[in-house]
Amino acid sequence: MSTEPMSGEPSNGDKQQRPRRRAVVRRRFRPSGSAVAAVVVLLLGVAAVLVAGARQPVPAEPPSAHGQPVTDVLAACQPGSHRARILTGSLPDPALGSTGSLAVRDLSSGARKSVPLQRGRLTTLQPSDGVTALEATGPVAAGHFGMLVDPASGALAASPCVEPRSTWWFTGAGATLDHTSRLVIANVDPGPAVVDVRVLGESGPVSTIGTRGITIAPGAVRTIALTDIAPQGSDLSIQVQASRGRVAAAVSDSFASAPGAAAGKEWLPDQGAASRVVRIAATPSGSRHETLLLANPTQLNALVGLRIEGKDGEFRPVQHAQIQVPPGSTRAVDISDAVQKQTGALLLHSRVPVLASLRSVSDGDLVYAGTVRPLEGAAAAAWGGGVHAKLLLTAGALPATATVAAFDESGDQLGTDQLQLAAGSTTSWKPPGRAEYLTVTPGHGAVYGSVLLSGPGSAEIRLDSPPVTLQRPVVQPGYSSP
Amino acid sequence: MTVTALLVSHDGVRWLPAVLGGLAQQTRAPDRIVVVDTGSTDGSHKVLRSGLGADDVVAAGDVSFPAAVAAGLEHVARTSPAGTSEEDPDWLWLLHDDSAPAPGALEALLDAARENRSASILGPKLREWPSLRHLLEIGVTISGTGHRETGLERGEYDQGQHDHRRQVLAVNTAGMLVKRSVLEELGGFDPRLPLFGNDIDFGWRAARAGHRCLVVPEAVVFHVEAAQHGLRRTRLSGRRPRRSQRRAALYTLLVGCSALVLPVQVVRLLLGSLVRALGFLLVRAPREAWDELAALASTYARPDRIVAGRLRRRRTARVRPGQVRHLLPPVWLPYRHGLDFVADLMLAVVHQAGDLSARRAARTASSEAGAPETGPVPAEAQNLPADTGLLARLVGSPAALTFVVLCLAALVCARGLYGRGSLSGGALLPAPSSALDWWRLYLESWHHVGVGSGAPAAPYVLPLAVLGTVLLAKAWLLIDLLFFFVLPLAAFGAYRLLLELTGARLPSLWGAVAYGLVPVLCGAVGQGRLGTVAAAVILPWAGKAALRLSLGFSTDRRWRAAWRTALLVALLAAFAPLGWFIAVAVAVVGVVAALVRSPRAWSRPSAWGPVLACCAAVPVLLLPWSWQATVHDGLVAWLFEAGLPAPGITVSPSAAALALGRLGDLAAAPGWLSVGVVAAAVAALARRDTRAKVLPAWAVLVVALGTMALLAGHQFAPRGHVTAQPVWWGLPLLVASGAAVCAATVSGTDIVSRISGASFGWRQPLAVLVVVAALLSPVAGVVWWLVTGVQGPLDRSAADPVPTYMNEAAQSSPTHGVLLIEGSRADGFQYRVLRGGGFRLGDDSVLPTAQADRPMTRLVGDLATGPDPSDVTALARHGVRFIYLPPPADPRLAGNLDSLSGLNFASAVRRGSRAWQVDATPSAAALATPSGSWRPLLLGVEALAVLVVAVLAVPSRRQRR
Repeated sequence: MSTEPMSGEPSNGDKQQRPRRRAVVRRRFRPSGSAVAAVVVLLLGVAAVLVAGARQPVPAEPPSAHGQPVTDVLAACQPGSHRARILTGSLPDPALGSTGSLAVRDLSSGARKSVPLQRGRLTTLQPSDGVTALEATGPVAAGHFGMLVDPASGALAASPCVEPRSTWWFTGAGATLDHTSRLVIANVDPGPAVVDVRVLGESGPVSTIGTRGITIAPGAVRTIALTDIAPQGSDLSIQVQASRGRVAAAVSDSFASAPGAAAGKEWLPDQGAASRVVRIAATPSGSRHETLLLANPTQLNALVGLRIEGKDGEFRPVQHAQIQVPPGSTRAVDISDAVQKQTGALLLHSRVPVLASLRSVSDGDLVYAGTVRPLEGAAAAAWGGGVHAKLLLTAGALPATATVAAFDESGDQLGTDQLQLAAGSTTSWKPPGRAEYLTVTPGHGAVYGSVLLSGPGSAEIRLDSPPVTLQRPVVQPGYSSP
Repeated sequence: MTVTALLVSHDGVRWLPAVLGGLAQQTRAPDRIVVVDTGSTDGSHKVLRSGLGADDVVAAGDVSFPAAVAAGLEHVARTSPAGTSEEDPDWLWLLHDDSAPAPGALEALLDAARENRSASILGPKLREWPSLRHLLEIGVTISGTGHRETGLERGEYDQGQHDHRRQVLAVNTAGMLVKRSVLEELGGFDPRLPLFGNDIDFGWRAARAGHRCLVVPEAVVFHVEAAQHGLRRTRLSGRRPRRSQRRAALYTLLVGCSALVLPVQVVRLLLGSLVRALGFLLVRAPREAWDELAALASTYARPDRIVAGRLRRRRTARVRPGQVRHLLPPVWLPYRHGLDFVADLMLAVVHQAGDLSARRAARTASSEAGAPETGPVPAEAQNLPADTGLLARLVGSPAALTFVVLCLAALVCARGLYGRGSLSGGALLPAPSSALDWWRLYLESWHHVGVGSGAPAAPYVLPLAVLGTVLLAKAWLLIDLLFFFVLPLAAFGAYRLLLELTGARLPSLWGAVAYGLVPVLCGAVGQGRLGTVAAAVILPWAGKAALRLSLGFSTDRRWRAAWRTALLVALLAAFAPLGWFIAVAVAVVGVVAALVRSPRAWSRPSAWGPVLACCAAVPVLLLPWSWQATVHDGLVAWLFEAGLPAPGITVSPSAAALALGRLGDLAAAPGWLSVGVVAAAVAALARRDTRAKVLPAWAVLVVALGTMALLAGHQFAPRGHVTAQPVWWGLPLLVASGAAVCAATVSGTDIVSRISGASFGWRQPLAVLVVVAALLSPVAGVVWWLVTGVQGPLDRSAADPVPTYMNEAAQSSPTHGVLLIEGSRADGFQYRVLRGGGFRLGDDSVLPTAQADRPMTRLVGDLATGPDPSDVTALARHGVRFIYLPPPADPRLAGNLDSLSGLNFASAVRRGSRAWQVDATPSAAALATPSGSWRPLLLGVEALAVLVVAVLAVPSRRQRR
C-alpha cells in the first residue's frame, strides 16, 4: 500500500525524477437526489402494485330465495261416482293461520259455492260429474290438501286433488278390451290452455291423430279415451304437455287381470318427470299380480336396475337385475315372483331418465303405486269413514325418523307415534279405527310414504307435502347485461 | 354665398397644424373660420389662437360635439347674422381637428352646391390620414343591424373608382358642408349622440325633413378618425369607443326607423346583439362582447330616451319614412357581410394550412440541402418538379406510414365485427338509432327508462351527441369508429404528446404504438369498455395540454393551457370520472414537488393559479351531472366509467397481471407481451441524463397505481344496481401505462448512440436486452391483435331482445313498456322494462334507483311466486303492455303467467320464448313522476362554462387598433 499522500500535486522535479504513479482515489458513493427519488418512486410503484393485487374484494353474498306463507291454493279433483266424496282440509298445525275460505267450483255446471274451511277439520264434499276445482284462499290455504275417495261397486279408487301444471306423465294406461283408460284434462285457470298429448307404446311412440295443439277453454274439461287415439295398446304411457297455460290431468284406468274377470278401477298416479333414480311407493302385501310398468321417453336404450326395499331391508331380485326398455317405449314386466307378496318399495336405477309405476292386482281390484318423492314437510292423507288405511313409510339410503298422527273428522288427534325407519326398509303403521286422516312429519333422513286404503277394494295414495310456504325467487333489476 | 368653417377641436395639437394649413391652402378659402375648443389640455388652444386669432376661437368647455357645434353656431349667429335666402344661403363647413381638407375641397363642394341647388348637405370624399390613399368614406348609411355602411372594402385604395356624385343618407361631419338654416331648422346634432353616429342621425333627420344630402368626390378631406381608433381618449369617447359607437348605432336605428318597423327592430337588435356578443366570444374577444351587451343594456334600459328622440324627429319630419328607404342599405346586406366573413375566415384557414405546409417543405428542403453531395445529378433530374404527392409524403414519413398501417391493421382486426346492427356486449350497450336520441337524453330532465328516472344523464352523452351529429346522426358509426380505430387514434395523440416531450420522432413513434395498444391488450376493447376506449384517445391530448402549465411558458400561454387542460380533463372525466381525481392528485403532487424545488417561483399565485383553475373548472364543465350525481349518489358516481358496470366480467387483477397492464383474462392479451415496455419504464430510472424528465412520469405512474391500491378490496353499488361490485380500473391503468410509456420514450431518446458510446460492462448488454425487448413488445402486441382479432363479449347485436312488434309498440308510447324477465327460479330472475327504443347506450347513466325499482321488483317477485289478478292491474299501472320471457323461458313462471287472468298470449317469435299482452289499458299511474329539476338551469351554466373556457383556451386575438 502506498504511503504517499493521496492529495497534493507532485512538483515537476518529482515527475522527472520518478516514474508517474497512479494515485488511488477512493470515491465515496454519494447517491444524487434524483437517484434517491428514482428509488423512492420505484419502491412506491412496486408497493402500490402489491397492495392493489393483494386486496381482493370479498364477494358479496348473493341474495337468496326466501319463503312466504301460501295464501292461495288451487286444486282440481277428478270426477267420481255418486258414492265418491272429496275430503279436504288443512294441516292441523297451530302455527299456521286458520282464517280463509274455500271456493268450490263445479267445472261441468259452472256452479260455484263457498264452504267453511277450518284448519285441522276435515271437510267432506260431494263431487260432481265433472272436475271440481277447489280454491283455498287466506292463511288457511297453507297446508291445504284434498283427496277423492270413490268406493264404487267394490273397486275402491282414490286420487289426490292436484294443482294444475304444465307437464304430466302417466304410466300404465291401456286401450284394449280388458284394459281401458280415459285421459281427463281440466283447465281450471281463467286463460285458455293448449296441450299436446304423446303416447308411448310397447313398440315406441304411438302415432296419434288430433292430439297436438288441443285447446282447452278456461274452466273446460277434455276427456280422451285412449282407445280413440291409440287403439290396441295394452300398456301405454301418456305425456300431457301444455304449451300454453296449465292443466290438471288424470287418467282413469279400468283393468281386468284376466279375460272375463271383473275389472278393477283406479286413477293412475301421475309422475312429474322422468328420472334416473325412481322410487315407487310400497305396495300392498298379498297381491297376486305385480306388474312393473316402465317408460323410456328418451332416444336412448334404458337398462333399468331393480331393488326392493322390504320390511327387512333392501334386496335385488336376481331375475330382474336389469330390465331393458327401448327408447320411446313402454314396457310391462311381471315382478310378482320377485316381490313375493310382501310389502316393499321399489327402487329403480337407470342411466337414462325413465318413468315407472307398479300395478298390483288383488282380489279383483287393482292398485297403482306411483313414484314417490321424499317428504319436504308435513304430509297428509285422508280417507274418510268406511275405509281402512295403512301407512307405509320407507327410509332412503340412511335411517330416518318420522312422527305420525291420526285425526278424526273434527280434527281431534286420536293417536300419534314416532317411527324409526331403517335405511332402505319399509315400515307400516296403522291408525286408530276412527281416524279419517293422518299426518306424517319427517324427522331426520329422507322419508317416502304412501297410504294404502282398503274397503270395498284397494287403493293407494302417495304421500305428498302440501305447500305451506312458497319459495320466493330472487328478483333483481337486470340492467347489468345488455 | 358665405361660408363659415367651423372647426371643433379637442386635444388635437398633433394634427391642428396640418388642419390649419389645409384651411389656409384652400383654393376657395372660407369666409370665416370659427374654432370651438372643447377644453383641450394639450396646448391646442395656443396653436389655434396663434393661427387664427383670439376672436373666433370659442372656448366651450368640455362639451360634446353637438354642443360644440351649437356653441359655434351661436357664435356665428351672434357675430354675423344670417342672410338667409334660398338663392344665396349661408353655409357652414364642419371640420374636426383631425381632418385636413385638400386644397380644392371647399371649392369643389361649393361648385357642387351651386350645381345642385336642392342639396342642403354636401360631403367630401374622406381618405385615411396619414396613409392619404385609403378610402374611408364617400357618404355613409346605416344597416338594419346598426353597422355603419360605407360601401367600401376595408383598406380600399382611392383610384377614382367611386368618383361620382350621388345622393346619400349622410356624410361625415368631418368636411360636411351644410346650409346654416338647415342646421338651425333641425336643431343641430342630437345631444344624445355626443361623439359617434351623430352624422348619420343628422343626415337621416335631414332626409326625413325633405333635404338632400350629396357626396362630392372631387372634394377630398383626410381624416384620422382619432376617437374611433382610440388615438384620442376623451370623456365622451370613454375608455371603450366601441361601446359608445354601438350605443349610438342602436339609438340611431330605434329613433330613426318608422313606427311600424319599431317592434321588429327592437327584437332584431336584441337578438342580433346577443348573436354578435356570442360571435365575439367565439373569436375570444370578451371585451368586445361585453361592449356589445353593455351598449344594448344601456340603450334598452332607457326607453324614455327613445320615445323622446322619436317625438323630436316627428316634429321635423316632412316626408314619409318610405321615401328615404332607398337611402338605407338593403335588409340582406348585413347577412351578406356575415357570409363574407365566414368565407374569409375559411380562406384564411386554408391559406394558413398552405403556408404551414410550405414552411414544412422549406424546412425539409433546407435540411436536405445541408446533406453532403453524393454525386452529380443529371440535368433531367434537376428539372423534374419536386414530388409532393400523397404517396411520396407517406413513404417519406415513418409516422404517416405507421399510422396508415395501424389503420389498416385495425380494419383487419375488426373482421369479426362487421355486419348490421350496433356493437354491443360486455359493458357496451347498443347505440341508439340516431344521435339525436343522445341529445334528447342529455337535455331532458326526466327519462322513460324502467319505472322512470330523473337521474342526470352522464356527461359522456354530450360529446357522443356532438360527434354523432357530425357523423350525420349515425350513432352506431361513431361507436364503430371508436372501437375499431382506438389503436391509431390513441397512438396519434400519444405521438403528438411524446414528440412534444422528446422531440425525437422514432422513439415517439415507438411510444405511440405501445400506448395505443394498451386498451387493446388489457381487454377494454373486447369487453366493450367505452369509457376506457374513449379515455385512451383523450388522455394524451390532456397530457399534452398540461405540459404547457410549467413555468417555462409565458403567463398568457400557461393560462390558455390551463383552460385547454380543463376542457380536455373534463372530456376525459366525462367518460371516466375518476380522471378528475387522478388529475387533481397529479396536480397536487406536481405543485408540491415544484414548491420543494423552487419555492419562490411557485409560491406566487400566478404560478399555481392556472393549475388550480384547471382543477376547479372540471366539475363546473361537467355540470349538471357533477352536482346532481354527487348529491344523489355520492362520490360513488365518480368511480364508474361510461357504459355498464358489468359486474360479471369485472375482476380484481393479481399484482403480476397489474404490473403487466392487465385487468383480467377476458379479451386480454398474454401478459408477457408487455414485458418489454415495463422493463423499459423501470430501466428509464437508471439513465442519469434523462432522469429529471423521467421522474415526473414516474410520479404520475405512482399516483395511478396508488389510485388502484386505494380502490382495491372495495366494492360499490352503482346507480340502478342492488349489489355492490368492484370498480373497473381502466382509466388508472391507462394513466399508469401512459406514464410508463412516457418514461421509457424519454429515456429511449438517443439510446443507440448512448449504448454504443458507453464503455463495455454488465450494463451494456443489459441495456441492449431491454431495448430489444422494448422494441419487440409493441410489434408483438400488434401481431397478437392481428392474429386473434377482437375477442370477448363485444359483438354486433343483430336483433332487438324483444320481438319487433313489441319494440314498435314500446316506441309508440312511454306507457307501452315491455317487461323482459330473464333467468330461472333456481338462479334468480332479472327483469328490465324496455321503453322507447329499448335499452341503449347512455341509458346506463339514467337508471332508476334501487329504491324506485322496489315496487316493480316486488311485482315481478309476485308473478314468479304466486300471482293474482291484482298483479295484472299493477303491471298496467306501471306502464307495462307486454311481458316477454326470452328463451329459455322459465316453465314455472310461464305457467304462473298463463294462469293469470288479464294476460293474453302474445306472439313470441323465438323458439323457447314466451310472451303475453296485458289486457288492461296501460297507464303511468304507478310510475315515478317527474319532479322539479334544476337541470335546465345547470345546463345553462354548463353551456356558459364550456363557452367561456373554450374562448379562454383558444389563442389570444391580437387587438386591432
